[in-house]
Amino acid sequence: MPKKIGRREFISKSATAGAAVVFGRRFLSGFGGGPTAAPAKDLIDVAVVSGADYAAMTAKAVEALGGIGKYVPKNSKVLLMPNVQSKNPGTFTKPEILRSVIKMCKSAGAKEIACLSYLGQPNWDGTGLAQVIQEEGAILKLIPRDDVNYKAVPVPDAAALKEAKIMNEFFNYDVFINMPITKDHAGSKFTGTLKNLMGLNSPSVNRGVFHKPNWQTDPVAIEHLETCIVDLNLVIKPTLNIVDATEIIRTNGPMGPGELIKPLKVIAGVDRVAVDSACAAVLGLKGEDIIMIRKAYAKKLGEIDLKKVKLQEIKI
Amino acid sequence: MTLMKIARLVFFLLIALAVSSPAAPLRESAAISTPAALDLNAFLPAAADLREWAPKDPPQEFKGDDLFLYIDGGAELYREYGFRQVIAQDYRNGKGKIISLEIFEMASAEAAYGMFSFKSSGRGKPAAVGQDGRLEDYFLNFWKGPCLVTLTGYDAGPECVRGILEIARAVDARIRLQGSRPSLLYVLPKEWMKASRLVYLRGVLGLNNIHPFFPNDVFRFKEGLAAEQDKFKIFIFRYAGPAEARQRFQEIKKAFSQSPAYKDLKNLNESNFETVDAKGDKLYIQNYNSHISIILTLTQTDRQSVSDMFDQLNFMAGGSEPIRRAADARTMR
Repeated sequence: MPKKIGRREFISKSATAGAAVVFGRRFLSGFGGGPTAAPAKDLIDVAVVSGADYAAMTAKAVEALGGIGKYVPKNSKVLLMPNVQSKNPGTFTKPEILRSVIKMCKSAGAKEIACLSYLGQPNWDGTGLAQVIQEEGAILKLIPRDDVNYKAVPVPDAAALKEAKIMNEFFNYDVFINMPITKDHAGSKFTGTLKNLMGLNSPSVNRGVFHKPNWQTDPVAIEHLETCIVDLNLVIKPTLNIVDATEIIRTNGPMGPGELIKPLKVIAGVDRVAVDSACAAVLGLKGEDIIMIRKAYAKKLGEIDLKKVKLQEIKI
Repeated sequence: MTLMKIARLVFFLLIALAVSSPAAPLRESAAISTPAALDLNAFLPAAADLREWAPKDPPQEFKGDDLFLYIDGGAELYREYGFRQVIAQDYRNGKGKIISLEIFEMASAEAAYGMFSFKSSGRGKPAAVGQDGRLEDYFLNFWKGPCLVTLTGYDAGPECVRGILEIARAVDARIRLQGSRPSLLYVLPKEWMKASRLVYLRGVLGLNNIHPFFPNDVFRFKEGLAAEQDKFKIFIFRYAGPAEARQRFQEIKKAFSQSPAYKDLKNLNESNFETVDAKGDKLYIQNYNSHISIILTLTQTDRQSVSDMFDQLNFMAGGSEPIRRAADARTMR
């Protein structure tokens, strides 16, 4: 049985108990096509499941959020996006977590389950994720980097990214489950749900717009990168976020190798800002410390203050 | 002047001439990408060089701006230090286990040392490969000449570590290059060479990963050091000359005085001030010659200890680097 043990790992005991707020959902896609919004009501906002069985932890997190049926309608086409950037330990979403999500989607009656990526087959092979996709009967679609494969999407109210270029293939799916691993990042100090969406955006835009010319590294350039990430999040709105916080690097991110820590958690929720704030806590940071989380909160993408989030910790 | 004193002076002058002169502060162009110069394929061990490991699949190579294709996020740090190219090769043993080898050609030996120092946390143990090597749990970094070499295993078990070391030694044998450590290192007292963490910096991104003093680039340095021991953290920034350092010192003092993250700023004299950060740690900031040094006290430390430390830094920064380098050349590989 799940044990609700409060939020002591994330919030000081002086926090206002019972001040939890279930936020109204603002996840309707701002453009035609693409995955639909998350259901209007969840039992909780964020589930934090600890344990040693990553597959079971993933399933428990989704169950705590109302069950996979709330997010994956029967006969829907489901897009999953694990982080597959590097095969170094603690830098990619664990295969057990991906397998668990695929199994849940199948059990919900999904018509098609796929992963899209502009990264190459070696990334998927090296992380063991390609094998899981094949064994579970899901599909891996490798999208060439040419701009013709990406659809221009204006970003209303953008602060820096006026136009995103999102994979054409993305618009063929009904449900989008964002599945990053949280870890250190040399520029942002943190990566989680918000940043993972760069994996759907054209590499030419990621490279030419998100990053300043000549790869500037000053704080202005880093802030620009994080502003673009938040702008991208204005037009891509995951149905659900499931984050690997089991074994992660806290130095030399995002590629590693770096110091490996083992929080042994899976963190899930619809509210990206709340989920990223909870992930930041795992790395010893606060949401407010991270520019992109702060800016996403300012853009009303979610709640940064974990005291205001209905967060349930479960140990299995 | 006695004959003995003259003889000693001549001796030191000869040593100073015998070693390379202290490097001038970096020009701005040093930290940007320059064309690849080495055939990194030649540094990859073949199966015949190894007992239990053999190359798996062809290597991947990325040059200049294409580093973005390999390190999709996080490439900026390599660029800050000065990046030329990287080659990545996986090795597999009979059990199907994989060890990944990456060889980065950086823009200079100093840049390779810098990335090595940044990627090594100080938690691991020294490894006798390259000019400096460090083994940490499941990975190993070493530098040699302009090359930074990173080997990443699948776990921290003895079989994996044995494989990492075997491949590392084979790479080491193939790289027949040597380079100099950054001359700025010799500003530190010798005992600080074994600091629990010593990082050579080339820009604000590296600095902010270690100690984010400000959210913006206040120090505007091209070359710096960060070192930590039990009592102190030391930061040293080198500028093009005393005039630039003096100007930066005034800007830095203004930034500390205006930032809400610091309080109780006190001017000690025209080239020294102190302040207190949000954690209550005391910072002492000093301008000397072309350098600005910050000593951050991690424990209750008397001012005399700080003053002594500044004296040591000033002595080493006062033009004695060639002598120091000659002395250290005997003790450092």
